[in-house]
Amino acid sequence: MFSIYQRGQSVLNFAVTLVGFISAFIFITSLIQLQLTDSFHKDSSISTISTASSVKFSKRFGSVGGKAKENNKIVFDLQSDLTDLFNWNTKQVFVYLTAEYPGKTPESSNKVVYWDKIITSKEDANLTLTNERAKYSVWDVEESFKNRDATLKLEWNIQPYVGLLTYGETEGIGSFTFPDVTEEKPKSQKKKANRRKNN
Amino acid sequence: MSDVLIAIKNFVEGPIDYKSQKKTEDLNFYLLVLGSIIASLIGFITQSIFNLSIAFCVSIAATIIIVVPPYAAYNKEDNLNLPWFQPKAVAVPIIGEEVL
Repeated sequence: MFSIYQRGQSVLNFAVTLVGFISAFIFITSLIQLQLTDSFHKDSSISTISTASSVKFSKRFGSVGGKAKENNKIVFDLQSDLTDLFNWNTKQVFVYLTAEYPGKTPESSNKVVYWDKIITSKEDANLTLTNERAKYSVWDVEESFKNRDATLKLEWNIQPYVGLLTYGETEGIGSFTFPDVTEEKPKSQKKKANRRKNN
Repeated sequence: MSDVLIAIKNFVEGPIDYKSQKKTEDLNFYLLVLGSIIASLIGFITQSIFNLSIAFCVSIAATIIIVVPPYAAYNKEDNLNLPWFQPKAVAVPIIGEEVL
């Protein structure tokens, strides 16, 4: 503490140490606020309006080597109030609608995301969606997932200013069964078939 | 060193006396801890991390203003006024030789 340089150095050093403590304080209080507002058990209602499967042959839809790949899309209704997820340490919330269904073996299960949204402010956190179309076309590792029962859940992920990402899910559960599709031929083959018929 | 050089060195280095060195160290600790607690409370009550950062920056600036410059009050005791040790000539007997 003899010279100006030493004194300035020790003030800034200790300030940086305290920034660590303040960060911990912010993160812990935000977790406590989440617990107090019961954010890990939020209500939600999810209902599936319709599901539609189709067979794709494009690489963009998971097809490998031009093999048929079953794709699925849904239309759904969703209601959930996630306003309480916004406390002083929330930068934004990422919400995503997942469907979980049994995999190849009875013990295994697969999970896919149909829809997601980044909520950046408290005002937008009360979600009410009607007849919302899925953002993503979904396919399985296997060729087909027809007739399997899927469970829809709305999950969230808080991206904080300080601290760790916090994950959670809402209580509401929706369900649907992947529809059975008969394999369609690609358009070019259909045209050929039509031509043959006409001739 | 010439007086001018000593003056420049003192200005750049800004030395303070021993008691004040202890005092500034304590001030540094207590001011910053108090500042961070107050800043945390302000941030929590207003529910805003921005307010917290502003409050903490203000407390850091205040601590720097109080602790860092070599104020006259920190230099009341003269460090250089210590008595020099004066060596004394002592006769040491060496074995085998007669001491004069």
